[in-house]
Amino acid sequence: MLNDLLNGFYTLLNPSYILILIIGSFFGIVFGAIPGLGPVIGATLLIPFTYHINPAAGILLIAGVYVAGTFGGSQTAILFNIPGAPENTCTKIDGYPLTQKGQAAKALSIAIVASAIGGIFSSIILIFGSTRLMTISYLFGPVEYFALTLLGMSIIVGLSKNFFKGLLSGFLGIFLSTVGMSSIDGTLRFTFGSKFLLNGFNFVPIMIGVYAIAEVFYQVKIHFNFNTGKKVKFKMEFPKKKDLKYVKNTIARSSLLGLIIGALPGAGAVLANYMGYSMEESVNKNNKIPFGNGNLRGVAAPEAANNSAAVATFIPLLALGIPGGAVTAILLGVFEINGINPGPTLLTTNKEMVYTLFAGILIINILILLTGFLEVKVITKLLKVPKHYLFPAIFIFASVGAYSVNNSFFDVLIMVIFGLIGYYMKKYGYSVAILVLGLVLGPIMENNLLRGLIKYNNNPFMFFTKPLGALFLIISVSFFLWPLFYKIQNIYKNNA
Amino acid sequence: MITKVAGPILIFFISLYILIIRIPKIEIMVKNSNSILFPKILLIGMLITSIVIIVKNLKLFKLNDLHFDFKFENLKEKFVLNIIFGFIYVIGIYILGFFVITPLYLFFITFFLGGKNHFFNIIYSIIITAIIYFIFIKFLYVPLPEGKWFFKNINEIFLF
Repeated sequence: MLNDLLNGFYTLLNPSYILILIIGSFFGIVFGAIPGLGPVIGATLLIPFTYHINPAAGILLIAGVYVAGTFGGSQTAILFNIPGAPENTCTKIDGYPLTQKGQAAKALSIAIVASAIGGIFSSIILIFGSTRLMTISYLFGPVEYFALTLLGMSIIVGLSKNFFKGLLSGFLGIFLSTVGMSSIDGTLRFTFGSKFLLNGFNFVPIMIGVYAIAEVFYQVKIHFNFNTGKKVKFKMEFPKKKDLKYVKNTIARSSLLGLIIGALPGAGAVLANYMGYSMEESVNKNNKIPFGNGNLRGVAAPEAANNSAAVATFIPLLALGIPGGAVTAILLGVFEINGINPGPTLLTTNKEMVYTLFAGILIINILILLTGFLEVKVITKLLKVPKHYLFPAIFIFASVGAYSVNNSFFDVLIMVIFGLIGYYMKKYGYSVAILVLGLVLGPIMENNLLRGLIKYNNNPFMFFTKPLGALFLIISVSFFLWPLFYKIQNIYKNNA
Repeated sequence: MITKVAGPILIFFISLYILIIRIPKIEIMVKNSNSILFPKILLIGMLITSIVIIVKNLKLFKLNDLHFDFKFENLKEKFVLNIIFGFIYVIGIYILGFFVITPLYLFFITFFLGGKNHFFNIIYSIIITAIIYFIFIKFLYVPLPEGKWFFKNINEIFLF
């Protein structure tokens, strides 16, 4: 195994891979730092590029954008109180007060170290854990796969801000995945006689639409301009020994928490950021500087947790072929386009690529540590690019990207239509991430459900005879029922 | 108010239409196959969930709220223009081709969104088009839309 990993590092010495890693990390940090964009949009815009380069390089490019982007958003959260991405929402709570106290450099340097350590920790677990999980996942049959995808959906729906809106987004996403020819018996479903829909919706234009185009429409609508009117002066410095000592346990705890959250399908870095902060707040109640007033642990905890979770989302993707979030859903698509099936067979069919990916993810996190200190100043300058130049360029890149998938105008049209749908969803509180996850998990869910039904003579109750499948199903049902139970409990409390 | 529930109402009617009218017409390729089962479950789920969302919103509904959020004056807003320009661009790349419509789109959209320096807007439009040209055509070898009729000839000039 170590030999394979060393081979992976050796492959990365190729200049084209080094370039991909640098581009991915830089692009990720820039997209992560620009409020309203974030790593998901960055990754979405890069999908078309992955079609035309080596699969491992393409996957590393997206992975680089995601992992580095999850860190990138912390910079604007700390400097301007505006998180670049939802993954950094809690970082601003203590990061911005530190900037107000003139300690921006201290907060940024701790964010860099915490992000890098969180990511490196998860990368090591990913390397050793996912290979172990791949060997166990041979035990997974259709029931377990169906139950696991349902679990992924139930977690993301159960934890969404509005349960019913989350549920509707999920149903819609999964339903869209059923359009086209059924993989079970070749039946044509909901194609309305269109030849473009014979193979169903291509998920790339939909993703570009609901993420990038919807954001372009949304930002223009709210007249958003990244002009804070504030000039923050700081000189980047490496963190001091006493500061590192102060946050070391926090980073360790949050990295572990992020790993667990990220490894669950459907949860991801956004939840890890919240949970990391909340956990640290409850663990450290007697601080000299209370949380919310510029406590360094309040910066380290969410940053370590989100980066750890971002890397950990690769565990279910690589080991089981089930994406943990929006970006890993994109990656699943990139795998499929290149004819690679992530899951138990990945280690035997594409061993070299897997270890190159492992080595690459580890290096991306080390790059955050090395380049993070240099990039902060560049990023603050890039943030001054006016939106009337930034968003039209994104629209053009998105359109060309959608077109290049199949060289089809239909895909560009689908992209704009889903851009409008995504705009509506964003405006009225529906989750785009759930729609996308549904779209990607839908075929896995349906195929395994139908295969399971065939196996058990159309008796779904037989699914509960499989212990692992039953466990996943019970947890899924609890996640679906939890918000309802919580609401009933609240009504009961209010009446009492 | 109406735009707030427009989505669930639309999903409700589309689900009902597909469930009642489209699904019975689907020709199932293999007898006793379950290929329609999964979409049926999803459609029923969508129907129920959209009803719940509509009812929840109706609870907060007041008669004064019975208006469309969309106003004619909004047409002047950058938001609507941006969407219209978006659709024009999509149609434009089909007819005029990438190399004609892209700089035009970029020039006009940056102007409407607030870029008042025409010279800079022109330079910006050309630079972005050139960047895409080099990335997609020279580096990735991806064909870009060439347009129709004589616009095709204009676009071909750039595809040397």
